[in-house]
Parts: sequence; C-alpha cells; structure tokens
Amino acid sequence: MLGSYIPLLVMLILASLLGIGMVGASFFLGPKRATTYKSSPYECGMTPVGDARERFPVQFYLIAMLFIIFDIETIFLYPWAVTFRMPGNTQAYKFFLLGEMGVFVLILFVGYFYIIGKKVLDWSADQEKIVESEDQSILKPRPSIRFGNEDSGPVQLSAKVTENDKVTPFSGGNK
Amino acid sequence: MNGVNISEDLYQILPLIVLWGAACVILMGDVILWKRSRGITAFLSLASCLVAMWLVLQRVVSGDNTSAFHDSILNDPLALITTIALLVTASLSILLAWSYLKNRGMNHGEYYVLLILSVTGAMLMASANDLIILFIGLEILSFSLYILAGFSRNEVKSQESSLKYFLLGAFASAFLLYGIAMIYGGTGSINFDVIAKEIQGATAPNPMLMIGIALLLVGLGFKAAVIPFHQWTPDVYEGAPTSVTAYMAGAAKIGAFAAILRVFNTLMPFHEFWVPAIYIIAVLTMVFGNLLAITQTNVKRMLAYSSIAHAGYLLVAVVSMVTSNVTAHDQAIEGALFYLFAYIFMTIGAFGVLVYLSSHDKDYQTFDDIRGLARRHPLPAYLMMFFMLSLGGIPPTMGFVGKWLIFIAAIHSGQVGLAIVMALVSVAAVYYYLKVVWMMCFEAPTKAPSDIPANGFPALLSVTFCAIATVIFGVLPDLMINITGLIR
Amino acid sequence: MPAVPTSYYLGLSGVLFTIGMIGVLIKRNPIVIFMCIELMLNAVNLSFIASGRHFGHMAGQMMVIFVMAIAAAEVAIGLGIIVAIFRTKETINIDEINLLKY
Repeated sequence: MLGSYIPLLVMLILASLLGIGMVGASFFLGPKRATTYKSSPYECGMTPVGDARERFPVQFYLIAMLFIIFDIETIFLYPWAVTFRMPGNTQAYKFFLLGEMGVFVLILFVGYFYIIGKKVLDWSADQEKIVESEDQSILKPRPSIRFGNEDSGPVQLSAKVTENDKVTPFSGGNK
Repeated sequence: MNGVNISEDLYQILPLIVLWGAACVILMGDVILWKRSRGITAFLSLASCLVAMWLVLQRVVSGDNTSAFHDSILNDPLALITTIALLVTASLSILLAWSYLKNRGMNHGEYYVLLILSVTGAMLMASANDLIILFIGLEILSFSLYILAGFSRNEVKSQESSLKYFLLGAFASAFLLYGIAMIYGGTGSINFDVIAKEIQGATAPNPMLMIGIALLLVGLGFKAAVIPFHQWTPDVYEGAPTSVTAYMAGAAKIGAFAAILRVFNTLMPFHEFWVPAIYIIAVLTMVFGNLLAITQTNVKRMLAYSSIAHAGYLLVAVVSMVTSNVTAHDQAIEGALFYLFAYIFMTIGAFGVLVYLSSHDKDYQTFDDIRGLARRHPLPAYLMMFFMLSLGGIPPTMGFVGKWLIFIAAIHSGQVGLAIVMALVSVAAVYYYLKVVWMMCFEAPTKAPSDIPANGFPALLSVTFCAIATVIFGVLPDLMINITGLIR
Repeated sequence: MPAVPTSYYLGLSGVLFTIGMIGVLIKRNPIVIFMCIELMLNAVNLSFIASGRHFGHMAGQMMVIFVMAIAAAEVAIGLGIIVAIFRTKETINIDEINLLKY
C-alpha cells in the first residue's frame, strides 16, 4: 500500500539534495566580500532607518490582554449551550438558564464599560495627552525615506566592515 | 432541578451575591457617576461589607447548616465563623485605607473594588466543599492581592513586591491545582463528602492520592505563609502599601487556614501520612519564624516574620485536630478559630498604627521611624504597645487566650512535644515584641517631632476598634468562645 | 485498536508539569517564567481530562474550562504587572529586580 508513495519520496529527496547542493555550493565556493550595502538588511531596496526592535505603544499590550480575557470567557457558552438543549428541561427552567447567561454577560459588560470609562480603547486621547505633555520626542519627524542608490553616503549599520572591504560599486571588486 | 431548589441555593450564597453586586455597582459608579469622590466608593464598600456581615450573622443565629449547589458549597459553622472574620478584616481595612490612599497619591476606586472581590474569594474558600470551588476562591483572592500589592504605581518597591508575589503565587497555585488533579485521579471525585466516603476505612493513600495531598499542602502552605514556603512573605509585606499589607496579612491567612482545616479534616483517615509532614512544618515555622523576626530592623518585615510564626501556632492546632477524642478535636478547631480572630485584631491593629502614622511621601516602617514615638504621638504609641503585648501573648490580651486554647488542645490530643516547642518559642518571641515597645517608650526620638500623622479619623477608629477587641476578648474570652463553640 | 491507557496520559502530564517547573526555576525573564507556569497549568488540564475520561464523568472537563478561564485572567494580570514594572524600572530581568531583601 505504501509502495506507491516511493517515487514521491525519491522525488522529495532529490529535490532537497538539489536545493541544498546549489545553495551549499555557492556558499562554499563563492568569494565573500561584505560591503556596506551588502551587509545591510534587505528592505525592498530602501535604506534601513533604524533598529527593527522598536518599542510598541503600551496600548498594544493592553488590547492583547483584554482580548485574552474576553476571548476565553466564550468557552463558558459551550457547556451552557449543552445544558440549555438538554432534553427534559421545562420552559421555566430554560428561562432561568437564559437569565443566568444574561447575568454572566452583564458581568462581562461591567468589565467592558470599565475599559471604556478608563479610555483604554481611546487612542486619540492618549495622543493628545502626549501633545500637552513636555515630552515631545515621540512626535519628532521621522527620517525621510531614502533609496540605496542615491548619493546619501554609507549607512553606519555594521562595525565589521573594514577599509579593505570598501570598494567602489560596479568595479568588480577584484584587487 | 426546579426553581425552588435554585432560589434556596442562591439564598445560601446571598452574602457573596451582595458583595459581587456591590463590586460591580461601585466599579461602574466610580468610573462613570461620581468620578471625583472616592469617599462615596469607600462608604459603599464598607456598607456592603456590613450588610454581608449582617446576613452571615443572621445565619449564625438561626443555626442552619446547609449545603448548596449540589454540595459544592457548605455553610457550616466553620465556614460562617471564618466568613465573619474575613468581613471584619475587610471592613477594618477599608477604614484604614480611607485617607491613607489619598495621602499617598493612589486614591483610585479600584482599590475598594479589588478588596471586596478578594474577600469574596476568601469567603468562597471558607465555604468550599469542593476542590474546584476551593481553587477558584483561592485564585479570586490571590489575583486581587497581586494587583493590590502593586497598587502604588510610582513606587518601585511596590511594583517589585507585586511581581514577586505574582510569580511565586502562580507557581504555588499550579502545585495546588496539580494536587487537586491527583486527588481527583485517586478518588474519582472533587467533592469533600464523596472523598471522605471514598477513603473511609483506608489507612494508607494510594500513590496518586499521596502525591495529591503533598502538593495540596504545598499550595495551601504557600498561601498561609509557612516555612519552607514563606520566602515571598517579608518581601511582599514590606513592599506593598501598608494598608494592603494589613489586609493581606489577615485575609490570606484566614482563607488559607479555613481551607487547611477543612481539607485535612476530610483527609483524616490518612493522618499517619500527613501528620508528620505538618508536624515538621509547624516546628520549623514556629522556630525560624521567630528567630528571623529577631534580626529585623523594619517593623513591617518584623511583623511579616511574626505572621509566619503565628501560622506555625495555627498549624499546631491543625495537628492537634488528629485525635480519637472528639472533645479534643473540637477544642483544636475552636482554638484555631479563636486564634484567627485574635490574629486579625492584633495584626491589623499593628499595621494600622503604621498606616495611621504614614506621611505623604513615605511609609512609616523602620525602627528609626518608631524610635521615641511615645513622646511624639502618645496615643498611637500606646495602641501599638497593646498590639505588641498581645502578639507576644502576654495576659490579659486576646493573643494570650488564643495561645492558651491551642496549647490546651495540643496537650489534650497528646501532642505534648509540640506544645512545649510552642511555649518555648512564644517566650522567645516576647523579646522582639518588647524591643519595639522599648524603642517607642524609652529611647530618644531620632526625628524632628514636627511630623504629624496625616491619616485621620477612619484609620484611628479602625485601630482603636482592634485595640478594644484585643482587650475585651482577652479579659472576657467567653464572649468569643460562645461564637467559636458553635462548631461543636 | 486498543485505547491509550490513562496512565500514559498521566505520565505525559507529569513530564510536562516537571518541564514547566524546571523552566520556572532556571529562567530569568518573567515572561518566560510565566509561559512555564502556563505549561504547568496545561499539564494539569491534561491530567484532569485523562482522569475524567477514565472515570467517565464530565467533572474533569468542566474543571479544565474553569482552569482555562483562570489561566487567562492570570495572563492578563501578569502582563499588566510586568508592563507596570517595566514603566517604572525599565527592566524586567529578575536578577535586577532586587530592592527587597534582607
């Protein structure tokens, strides 16, 4: 039964060998001369403007936390729904169960209104607070977007680039 | 399953419903309706605690002893009495916080809401007849306490204590939960009644149950702050705002000991397995709790170690529970309950004096702060003296009567060795309590006498109430024994 | 095909719990410690479900639901505390959070 899959397996092995072989050969055989542009991270042709590990506004974390709580609460709906549809429930008991879920949702709403009342979801208010406050650094203009082929000078990203590595572009790099 | 049954069930948890409803209403009102006035928030929280206490007292008087929600909640006298202790703790703490929060610049309404919610968690622990209700109650209690410990948002110490408490507490809860899973696997039930029936006649637990009991002891021991699960206690007690420390010292300990009493009462057939463990823990807790307290130079830290030592005395009562003599068994539980009451009055009172004296920018907590206090502020100094004498177990205070009751119970159930250890360390403990009294009364103040207590009338009221209770129940212990004797 | 015996599930849950416990003890980043605690809770969930299936009641599964809800609340509170401490202290390394000691 499994025999019919053998060609597929062979194909898989051959394909991976080919891929590994090509990348590996260029890795081992090719000359490696790092230039500033080569060793900078590839960002769709643009010059990178800073560290990728930027700090996020705290609201992202708040939203994530709130999401977890409100998300998990829905699992209580499943046992409730099963109980609700149980055979033999009288009409009055079903109404009671509905009321029970109403109370549950009401308590969730208390949390929700608390969040709204505390303006957690209101991001614009937070921006205005920054404008009012002394700390204007967040609103400073970001560096304008530049392209790598402009005459903008080398970008100081890596200290590993030495004098020997500095080559003029398109000269072939041979010495 | 009909309507009548459900309304009966709901009636059984009416105090809890009152508090939960009050918490929701107060939270909404605080955010939306009366934004600037925390006085209303504090007042409503206090009122809801008092209403709940009235409902519980009514139930104590009527003397019904019923279970609800398919036996998962049991309102027996043990639960009701610990619930009263919890509500007293909460009310006193609300009074303490009233002006303290305003002065320390953390006057947020969430404080009171969290306090009420955490007391419901502890109440749930006290009346749990089911391991999962016990766990849920413990988590409600702990979550609120984690946040309250870090309530002072611009103080690094407070934040740090919150993080420590949270990480260690969550770790301990995981152990407790694994213990519950093991007990469930070993007996096939999470209900205490069914578990008791299941293990009747057995003398040794099966391996799974054995692991379960051990892990449960770790989890509950952490909450009750017994050695060797105590490392968080001094750090958290020191770092948290003092009003929170007062509340935490009371509520967490009552909840944990209510649960410990019930769990180990259920597991009585296996006493040969768990008594040696608790015996060793009790001795370690009493001896090292007191020894470590001696070297402290911060009143909050010293009181933290003293609260550890008091947990040790309460564990003596837990061990004394194991006896074939029914009177001695009841005596041990009664002693534990009396001691819990004594403990909350003494501890909240002692922390309350520190709350009362705290200034705007700094908690009142080191020995330098209290040096020569009697000359600067005689009233709080003398109140503090009362609490120190009571914590040290000097008659005629409540602390003495509590220790005496546990001591007698231990003798009656044949734990003479434990009783002797308890008596010896109590005598040693008097040293560091009296050191505080000495510093307050006989040493020259190191501070300018201009610092005036800023925390006003409610805190003083709460502290005075504690002092009066400490003395009255110390002189006339029968008043309290009439209540704790209901468990018979 | 024979069913997997309950003891295998319990063994797996014990192993997962131990991994989580070791992680809590050796890691220094509170968020990683926290993930290890979650691992411990989920290990317990596994053993609840295994026991519940073994005995044939729903109690095990219901407990898992409660534990999940509690774990979610724990995550929210934990992250909140970590964010708060990062705001005041600019680090969350456990070794640098050391103001409170003897």
